[in-house]
Amino acid sequence: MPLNKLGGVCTDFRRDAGIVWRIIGQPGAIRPKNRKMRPDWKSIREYDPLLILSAVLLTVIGIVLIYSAQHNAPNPADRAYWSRQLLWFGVALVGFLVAVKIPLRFHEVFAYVYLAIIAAVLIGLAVLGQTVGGRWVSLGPAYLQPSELAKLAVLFALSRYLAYLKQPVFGFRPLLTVAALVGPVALLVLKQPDLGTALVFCAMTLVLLFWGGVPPIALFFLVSPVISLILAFNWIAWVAFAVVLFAALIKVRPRLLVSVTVFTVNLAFGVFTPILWNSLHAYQQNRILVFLNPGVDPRGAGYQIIQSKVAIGSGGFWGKGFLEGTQTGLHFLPAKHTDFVFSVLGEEFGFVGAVIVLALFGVLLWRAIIAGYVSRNRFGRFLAVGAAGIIGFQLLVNVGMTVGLMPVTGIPLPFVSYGGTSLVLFWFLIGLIVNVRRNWQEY
Amino acid sequence: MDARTSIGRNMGQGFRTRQLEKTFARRRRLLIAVALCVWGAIWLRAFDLQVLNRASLSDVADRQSGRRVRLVAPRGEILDRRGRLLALNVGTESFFAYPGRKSSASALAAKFSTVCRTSSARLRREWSQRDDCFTWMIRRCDDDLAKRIRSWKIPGVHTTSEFSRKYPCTITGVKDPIGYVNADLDGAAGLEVAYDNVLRGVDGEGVLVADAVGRRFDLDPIPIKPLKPGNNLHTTIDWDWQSILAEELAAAVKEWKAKSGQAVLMNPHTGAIVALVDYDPWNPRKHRSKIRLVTDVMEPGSTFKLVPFAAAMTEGVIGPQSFYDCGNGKGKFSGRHLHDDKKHGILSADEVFVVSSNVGTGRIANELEPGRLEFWCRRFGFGTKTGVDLEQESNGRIARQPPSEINRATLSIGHGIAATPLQLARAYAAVANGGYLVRPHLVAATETPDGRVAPTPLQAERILVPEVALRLKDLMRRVVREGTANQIWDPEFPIAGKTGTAEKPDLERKRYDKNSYLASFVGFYPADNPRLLGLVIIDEPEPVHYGGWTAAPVLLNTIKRGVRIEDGDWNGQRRDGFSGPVARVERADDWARRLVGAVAPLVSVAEAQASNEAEATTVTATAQYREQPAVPACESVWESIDRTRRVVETPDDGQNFVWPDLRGMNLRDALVAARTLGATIRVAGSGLVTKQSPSPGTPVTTEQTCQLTLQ
Repeated sequence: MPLNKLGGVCTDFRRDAGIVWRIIGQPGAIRPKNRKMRPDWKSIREYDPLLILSAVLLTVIGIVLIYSAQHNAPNPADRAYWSRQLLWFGVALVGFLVAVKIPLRFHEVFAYVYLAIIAAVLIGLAVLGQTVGGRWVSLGPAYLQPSELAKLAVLFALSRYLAYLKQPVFGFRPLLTVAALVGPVALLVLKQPDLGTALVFCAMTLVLLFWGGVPPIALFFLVSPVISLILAFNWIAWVAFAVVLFAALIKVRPRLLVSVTVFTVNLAFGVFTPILWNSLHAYQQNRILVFLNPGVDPRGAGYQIIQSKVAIGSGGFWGKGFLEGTQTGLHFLPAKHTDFVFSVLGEEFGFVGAVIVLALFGVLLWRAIIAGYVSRNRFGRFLAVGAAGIIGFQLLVNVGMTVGLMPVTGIPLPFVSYGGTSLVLFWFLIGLIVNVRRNWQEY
Repeated sequence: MDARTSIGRNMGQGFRTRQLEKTFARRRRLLIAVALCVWGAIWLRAFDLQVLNRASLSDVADRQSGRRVRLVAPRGEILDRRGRLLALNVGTESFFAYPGRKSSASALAAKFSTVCRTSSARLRREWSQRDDCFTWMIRRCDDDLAKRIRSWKIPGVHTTSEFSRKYPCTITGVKDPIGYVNADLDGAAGLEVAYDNVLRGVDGEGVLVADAVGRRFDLDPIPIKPLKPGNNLHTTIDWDWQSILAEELAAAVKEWKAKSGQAVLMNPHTGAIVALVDYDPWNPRKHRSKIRLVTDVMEPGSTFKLVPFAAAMTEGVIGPQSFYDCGNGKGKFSGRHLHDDKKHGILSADEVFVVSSNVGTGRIANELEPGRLEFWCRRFGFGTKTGVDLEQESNGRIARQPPSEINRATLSIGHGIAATPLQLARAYAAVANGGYLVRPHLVAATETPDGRVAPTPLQAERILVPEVALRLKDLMRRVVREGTANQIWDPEFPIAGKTGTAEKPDLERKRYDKNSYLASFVGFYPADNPRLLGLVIIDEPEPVHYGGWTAAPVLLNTIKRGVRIEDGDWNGQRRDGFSGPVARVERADDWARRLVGAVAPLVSVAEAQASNEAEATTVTATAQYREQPAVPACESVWESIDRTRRVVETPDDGQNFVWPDLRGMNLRDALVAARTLGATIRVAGSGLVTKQSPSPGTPVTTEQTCQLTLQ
């Protein structure tokens, strides 16, 4: 079958069709036949209550923080954000149940279809984007962010591809295929422009590649050009990095071609980027910066970061108390119900609050990784770990941004930040993890 | 664990699978390690910010929140009993420089020195003290000046509106109970300070948003705590009466070359003070905040004779057949002499009161049981505060003296006792209203911004049996008809009263000064059915010092003029020949309706209650103000149809109200006109109205607010 061999992406269509027929043709397969009227602890434990509990707590904390952030907003319409988030929580719970109930194989079969649909929507947005405005698709009263759904689609597609890969993943062809699966969607999202979400794709891909068997040192080589690009503007840092890279290449000794390619690319990025950059006019540089990150500080003094750090720091150990935060209440904090919601937490509930929320995220990530590990379902394995990757990366970048460790990118904090599509997505991911955990024996 | 073993057992497919499981276990460990690193890094950073660097970051936060601003709540308005504004807020503009350094100090100072006092040195000093370089340039300037300053368009100079307090009705040089506020709009005198916490609103809080480096400045603060306007005060004062009384008193003080004068008009049934005037032309700025009727005491003199007579009548000491020897103007009491102004022989008890014989009163007082006179002084409320709603009220004092004849005699003629004029007025009110001691008060009701009205409760305590009150009333009528106050006898205006001419004590020489007198008169009108009680005190009148000559005409003239501006006189007849319908101006506003029950007519139900409770010697009656007047004539709407002012003519159909021509009016009249139309006006400047927008003739329904420019 020639179709079967298309880049190694498409697998056995006949098997796919059989699975779909078993699911759709026999509804009993979706629902267990003899349901017990009274759930016992064993069946409750199947759903990983610790994971669900921490997700619920995070969402509730999020709603409380959103209320606090906007309760005295100058525009009365803005004060209702928390209730809208509560509404979205309801939708998200439905999404969670759907994710738990739909067999994983269904997603496995339709993984590439999802990706194709989402790619089509993103292309549509890119073409019509000038008129309908950017990132959102209007669905009646609500607005949908396709880039959030794209995370899910890419996760499904990559999981399906990596799960049944017959050859070592660290090879020319598999890597190229992965790049072909992720690249277009990531570029379309970058075009929106939404650098943060594009970065989430990259991070998820790296985590899945690692889980699929790429050694960490190889991942390091993979991302080294990007590091070069960033460090190129400080030549001391770049030389130090180049020395480290060189030493790593000597130590690991990959094939000569690979070594030379890696080093050449790094050299090229490191040397030519500053030259090229400096040859651009200031407005051109600015345009590129704004394209890469529209949220880049428009007033030029690190205002958002300073405000966020001041808010978190002034909270102290115990915090200033609910609704008592001055930086929050006096509207000094920017985007305080979305990207900087962690600063509200830090100010009003202090170090104690921050530690509690971080601990909840820790529980979440731990349970997700365990789910990915114990599952015998290869697809499920990748799904759970990929979900953990998305959540962990967004946590790192968002909280890192609010505490001043990372540059400002518009990535929301999972479960906590305001945003309907995002909340539904993360609850769907939780549903998938629970599904993986429950059906670990599905082989 | 069982999961892993079962994987091993079920898979059980040899070395390769087990190898795979091993690598997965390694990857899992690595993944968890990375996650832990990320988690730990954030955790450490949070610890760094929130525990280690907390102090410095809190400082930054505090400095930022220093841009909180106060949203000044408007102070409540003070209205008279017909709804005229006695105190109101007018918006003015203030200019400030922020951030000041945008324009140089010398340039700013040069510009502003043309309109106010400022210097570049002051600006530099202020900027060096404050981070944000905020400086007030000029505060509360009027419209023209504000326009001029705005036209300069100096960068960094902004404007904000502030309130200033206006008293459109206040007469210069006359102390009235309204009082005034200081520069920060805190009550400083009169009702403004007595009801400061009622009038004062609760300030809100807002924040002026600035960016990271503080360069942008929004003029409209974002409210974080909404402000609450102050409550309105509906006083019992009637500004018509107040201004008439002030004019008459001022004229009398001038005529008799007196030092000063004080007067009060009061509803004897409720204690509601209708007018309160303290006129001190020689030191207008001295003790500005003091209303001496309340704060200062005097020796009442003959007006005090009411108390011994009430005591003697109630205790049965004097009857129609009692006669007293007045000793031809000289009477000996335990070795010392009292003198009368005129020589009298033997007089009946009634005649003693009518001619105000000191000797006769002394004899009567000495017929009382020992201690009874002091008892009756206290019963009439002397020596204790009246409870009037003004600050710094005096208790007054009854001298403790050995119980000798002369001491009793001097006390009975109003010496050796210190009383406030208000205490004296209240004692006479008890006679006028049939025996009740009432609480004098100035505030009928307070009104919250959302329109809830809380009326002041009334207090009345019976101290006289009605028969005694009636008899005393009769005696007072005789005082005016044939006694010491017969100068003001006018059959058309039957007043009952009592004069007083007291020698003033010379505190330095510790004796009474034969040349300085305190002339006083207390009376009520109409004599047989009193509605209004007045007390007038003239301090050191020259050359005539009798109360009947100097003080009493003030009350008569006031009543003559005041009754005319009421809708008819209180005996049911019109005095001014006015024959049309009384309420020419339809009341479009609803404030009056809301206040029904809060603002009482001059006659209240206390009298009706009094007759029901006649048997009880002492009762405490607390009556609320009620709408229902006792006499139908008083039902008429209080309209300000005053000869001296322009009447606002409005069409009769009541539908098409148009803005009248307000030009040339003063602020007070313009406010009255707007009130009657149920519309509001905005005011700029002071003086007389020169411009008006919308122009006269515009229907009120289309333009609810009128902008007036005063000059």
